[in-house]
Amino acid sequence: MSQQIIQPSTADPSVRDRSTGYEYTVGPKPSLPDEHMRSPLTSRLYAASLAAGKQQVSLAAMTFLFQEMIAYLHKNCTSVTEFEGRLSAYGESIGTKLLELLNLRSSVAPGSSSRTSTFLSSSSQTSTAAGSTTAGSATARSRSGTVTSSRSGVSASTHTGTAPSTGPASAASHSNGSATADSHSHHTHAHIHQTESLTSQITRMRRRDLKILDILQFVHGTLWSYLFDHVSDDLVKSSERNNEYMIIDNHPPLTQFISGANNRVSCDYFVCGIIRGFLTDAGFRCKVTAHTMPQGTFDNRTVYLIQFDNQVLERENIRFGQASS
Amino acid sequence: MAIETILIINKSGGLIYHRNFSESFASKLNSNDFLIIASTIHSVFAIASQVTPKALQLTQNKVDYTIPYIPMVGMESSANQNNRGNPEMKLGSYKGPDYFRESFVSWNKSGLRQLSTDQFTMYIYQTMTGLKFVALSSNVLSSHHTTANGTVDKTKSANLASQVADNFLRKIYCVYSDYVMKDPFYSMEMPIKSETFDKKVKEMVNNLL
Repeated sequence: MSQQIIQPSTADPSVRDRSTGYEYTVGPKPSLPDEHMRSPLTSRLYAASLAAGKQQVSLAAMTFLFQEMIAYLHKNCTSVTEFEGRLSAYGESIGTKLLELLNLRSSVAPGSSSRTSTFLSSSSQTSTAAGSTTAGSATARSRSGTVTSSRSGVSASTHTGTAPSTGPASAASHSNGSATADSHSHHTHAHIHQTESLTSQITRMRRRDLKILDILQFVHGTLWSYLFDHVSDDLVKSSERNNEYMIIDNHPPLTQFISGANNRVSCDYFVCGIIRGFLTDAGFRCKVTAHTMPQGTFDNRTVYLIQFDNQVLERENIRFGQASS
Repeated sequence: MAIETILIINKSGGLIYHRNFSESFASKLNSNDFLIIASTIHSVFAIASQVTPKALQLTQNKVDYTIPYIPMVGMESSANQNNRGNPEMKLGSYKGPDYFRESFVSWNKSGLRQLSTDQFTMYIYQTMTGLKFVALSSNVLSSHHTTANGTVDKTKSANLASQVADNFLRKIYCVYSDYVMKDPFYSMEMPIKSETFDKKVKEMVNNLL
């Protein structure tokens, strides 16, 4: 005797009819439709390709969203420093994700179909990349397994999936395994179904930036053109302090509608957060602050001041001491 | 067309923005006077929509309220624009060389659109939400054109001036939607204090001269 004792809180008759409520000999019976019987929820988000298409977001929509973020924080924060800190924390999670995404996108061989930014960071990097470009595109076209697997052995340590804090030896060994495994899976994937997957176009992961200047060039070029569709207007090293670098944007798009120079600078901390999240996750611990410096016709000219931790400089000296000094 | 004053009146008749652009009769008024003017315009506007003749109201559908697009009203000339570089960035969230590029239907269907005196001319542009943009121009329409068939030409030039004013005020509305509505520190229906908006309006008025 299955009697309806508990009324489910839904107006859907199919649910009500199926529910048998609580039966004291068995216990509670499911009154909601079985989740596992349904086909899994398909989202376009997961089906979308990671390849860099020409994707643009409406500036108006973005500023309205940004406006709400600021209004929310403005209501809930008691001080300017708290406001800037929390806004920058919002940006940091974006920067963390962008580090992975942009590195993956930059790894796509320039010869392949999707549009990528051909901006590669350092001079040494470009030369090696240029050398491997022709080979890379050739392998992409012929898709011969042997060439790629041997290549993945060479570029084992370029895998950025590993945490930057792990020791170099363990990281290398780890990424060695994962890189070869990855390349194999990419390969089978590419053979089985010819979908527009980004991974099928990658034959060699881009080498992770280890030098301060390299990663800053990446921020200045690739990150900026991903976020704002143009390269940032300047990248300057401070003449006074060794650990300070400045990225300059003459016309920050996100905060251009905000009135009052002081208000605008506080809102620029969102972009500061993106930079900080990006750099910190890449292993460059730093502090990023925004400053307004109008120059000529650019009233909104903003300087993002990046102050690296001392440990970053020390590491750079130990590793690249001879080369840099 | 020389713009003397720009007023913005919110939907409840409060003055939220006013700016004088030249030393004239308007600059002799203090801000309190402007508040009174604003609410007076607002009430007259409301009365005018009530006294629209019944015949006109009944044939409402047949009246064409389309205002033609007049290119580059209040915009910088293209020669100047090239020197500045990157013209796309200049219009905020609007793309292209101009804020809009097609004719539009006026939302001001029953209220006051234009007030001509022998001292000044006033143009009113109303948005769908009841916001009013008012421009006071020092141009006096009646003494402008003196041709053989004066009467025909007069209405023609008056029409053109009104269309230019509508185009211009619609652009101010575009600027308003960018620099006021997208400012997180602006509270609705309150006076506009944004200096970027001020600057943009001033630029557009200067370009119009």
